[in-house]
Amino acid sequence: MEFVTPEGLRRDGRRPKELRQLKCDIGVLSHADGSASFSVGNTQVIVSVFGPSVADNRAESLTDRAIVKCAYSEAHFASGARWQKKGRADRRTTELASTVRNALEETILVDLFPRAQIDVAIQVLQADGSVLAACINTAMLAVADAGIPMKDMLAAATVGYLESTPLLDINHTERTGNGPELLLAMHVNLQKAITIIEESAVTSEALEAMTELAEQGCKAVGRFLRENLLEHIQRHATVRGVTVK
Amino acid sequence: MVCVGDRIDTDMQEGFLRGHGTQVLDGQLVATECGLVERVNKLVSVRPLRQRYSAALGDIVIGRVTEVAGKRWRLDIGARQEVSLQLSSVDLPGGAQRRRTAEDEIKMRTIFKEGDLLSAEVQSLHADGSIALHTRSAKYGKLTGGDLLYVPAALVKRQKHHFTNLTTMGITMILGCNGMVWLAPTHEGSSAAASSTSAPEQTAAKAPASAAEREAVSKAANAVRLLASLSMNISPASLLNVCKVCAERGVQAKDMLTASFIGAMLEEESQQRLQTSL
Amino acid sequence: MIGSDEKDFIRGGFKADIRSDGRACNDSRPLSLSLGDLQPCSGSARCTLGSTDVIVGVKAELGAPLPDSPDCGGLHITVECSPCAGPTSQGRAGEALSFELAKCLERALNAHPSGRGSALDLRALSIVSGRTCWVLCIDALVLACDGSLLDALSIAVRAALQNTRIPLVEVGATEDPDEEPELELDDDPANAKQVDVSRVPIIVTVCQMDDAFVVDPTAREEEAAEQACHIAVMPTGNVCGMFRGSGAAVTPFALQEMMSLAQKRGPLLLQAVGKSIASAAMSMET
Repeated sequence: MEFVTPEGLRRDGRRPKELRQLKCDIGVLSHADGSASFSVGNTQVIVSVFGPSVADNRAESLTDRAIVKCAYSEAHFASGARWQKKGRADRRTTELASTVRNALEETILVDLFPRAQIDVAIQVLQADGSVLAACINTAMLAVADAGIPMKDMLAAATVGYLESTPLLDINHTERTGNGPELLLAMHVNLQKAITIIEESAVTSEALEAMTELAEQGCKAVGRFLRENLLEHIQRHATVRGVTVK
Repeated sequence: MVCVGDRIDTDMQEGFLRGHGTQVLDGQLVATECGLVERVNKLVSVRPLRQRYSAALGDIVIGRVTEVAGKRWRLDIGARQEVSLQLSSVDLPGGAQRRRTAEDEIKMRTIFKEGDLLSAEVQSLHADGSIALHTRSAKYGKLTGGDLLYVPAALVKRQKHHFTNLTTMGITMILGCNGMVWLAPTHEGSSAAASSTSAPEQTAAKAPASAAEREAVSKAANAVRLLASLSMNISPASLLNVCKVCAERGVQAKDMLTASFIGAMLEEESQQRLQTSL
Repeated sequence: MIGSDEKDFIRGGFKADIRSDGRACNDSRPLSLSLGDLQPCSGSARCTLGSTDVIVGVKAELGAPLPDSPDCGGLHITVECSPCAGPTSQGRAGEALSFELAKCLERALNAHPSGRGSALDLRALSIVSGRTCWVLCIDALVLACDGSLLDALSIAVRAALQNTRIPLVEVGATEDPDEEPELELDDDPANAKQVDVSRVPIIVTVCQMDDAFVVDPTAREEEAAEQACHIAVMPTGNVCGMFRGSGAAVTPFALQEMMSLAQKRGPLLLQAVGKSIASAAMSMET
């Protein structure tokens, strides 16, 4: 299968450095303290956030900061091939939840809430590649919606590498090429990388190219998230009759 | 208006005090929340649209008893912190002023039991961050014979009067700072709450709500739900406004939450704002 | 959690026919449907009933028929409570609830291998007798729970099935009857066939407190009520299934009342669903 044509077009018509269409909705589930829905192409994730609240389990709570708990679930209908889930927690979902949790713990100002607990529930509705990055982006929006303070804007992007070309925001078909995949989550303003995951053998040149592209991708996603958050505030401030200078 | 990570402009001021929702990085004031920048004298803070309720001294709240144990009740008020109501912070039946005995402890459930709703005031914040409430005033106490609603706490501004009698509707409303709102038919000569000092007979004597009273309560409740869904501030004035529009358009209580009435409400609101700004 | 005073107030409301949101005992909450949002699915629907929010995705997959019903297709139903629905939908309780919900839906659709009495014509899903058939995988997800889950789920299932398009299959001729015939799937959506939902029931939840019966209870009303029944009603108004919720036993008289209430509400609700689907389809075309 050819993934990049000689003219430099991908199978879905995108250029190598092009993101798919981004869409998001903030405050979608009223029963949660914060929530958001985010989609990039056909990958769609919903996240709801509860907290900060009193920790369920005293033994688990920390005296100097809040604990962040992450639950991850992929719907049965999320991907092309329906996979049978063997119970709620299998290794893959546990790892994914763990990755998002770590990124959030680095971002949320947990020191402000000793003995508290913040619950983040991630629900993948459609999986078409770059799912983990989408989860992180959605979680960021939901945490912002919940009014939980953060060090900086968190944004994530995935980059693949096929036919010697780094490809931003790979979809499921491109994943079947089994090339290397890099996930980068970073604090956009502070320009700090928070999470980097790359699991296959790759040359250092390729890695450099992928990382650079991922950084650009994160910044682009960060701009999108910021725009939408500000628009959301503007709309609500207007409804509440507050003038925004 | 700022987003997380944005720099906050402090060039116009000589110095600044860092308030909520901000942090200082490299001498620059940076937002940690998405929201509106508030400047009060030198204090610069960022207020987000929504946030889990965090209790402050003197706040009037509504809570539900979750546990009865060891000289205190544990309550759920939807707050960030743990909440308790000490036996010593409650007026004893008969208005007695004395030390609490072991017998009192056993009888705690006769005052408030699991599942009961009550109104109270935030008395103190402990060193470990937990909150202590008190009901030592006639206006606080158990809430019966009415309806409870949950709205985002941010929509309930701290105002002068949290206990209001909506006389035109015959309803008493309690706006908890924690986003719990209580609506009940107004009973002549008594306050909203059955305080713990009143004998059990008095509380039981409250007549069950009539059909007309229930209509009024459901109308008010839907008005609150509508305001909450539109993220508009909840106050006696805004509630009465919604009911007024409802009456003008002849909309029944149960149809207040349909898409068409919500749209109509938004229209009305924008019209009213236009008129006031002219 | 709900206190005894709150229960009394709700009880009084049922009696006076004025519920917390002004509804009469017979009224349902506003319903909205959105179709076809899930790309990987052959059909999908999202249903909100008040604050209850559910999504159903239907996938038509190729599979083999069961040995004792070679001319029938297959049907699988799963229900999941999303962690987004809140902490109460997690852990053992959440799993138990999901299992119960799936069982109820399955029984309502009467996914019987024989294809007899099934709400869906499983024979229409057969491709090659004894060898290949379509299997409809119906996966439901609960995003937010505010009571009447089975009502919302059954509505979403019905809408998702109505939205489902199954590709036309051309079966190649074979000389040898034991040889595996070649199958060619027609990609053209215009040639795809629809699923006949005319016999698909919806479930109406009825709660009881003293002598009052209410439909479409909210989570609070469900918690306050002593008994609840979930009644599957066909478009014709016939009852095709009944499941008792938790709570004390229901008297035969109460059961009768609940059934007749559901029979009245069922067709009305289906009309509302039909309207919703039609308007959703129209807004998609524009």
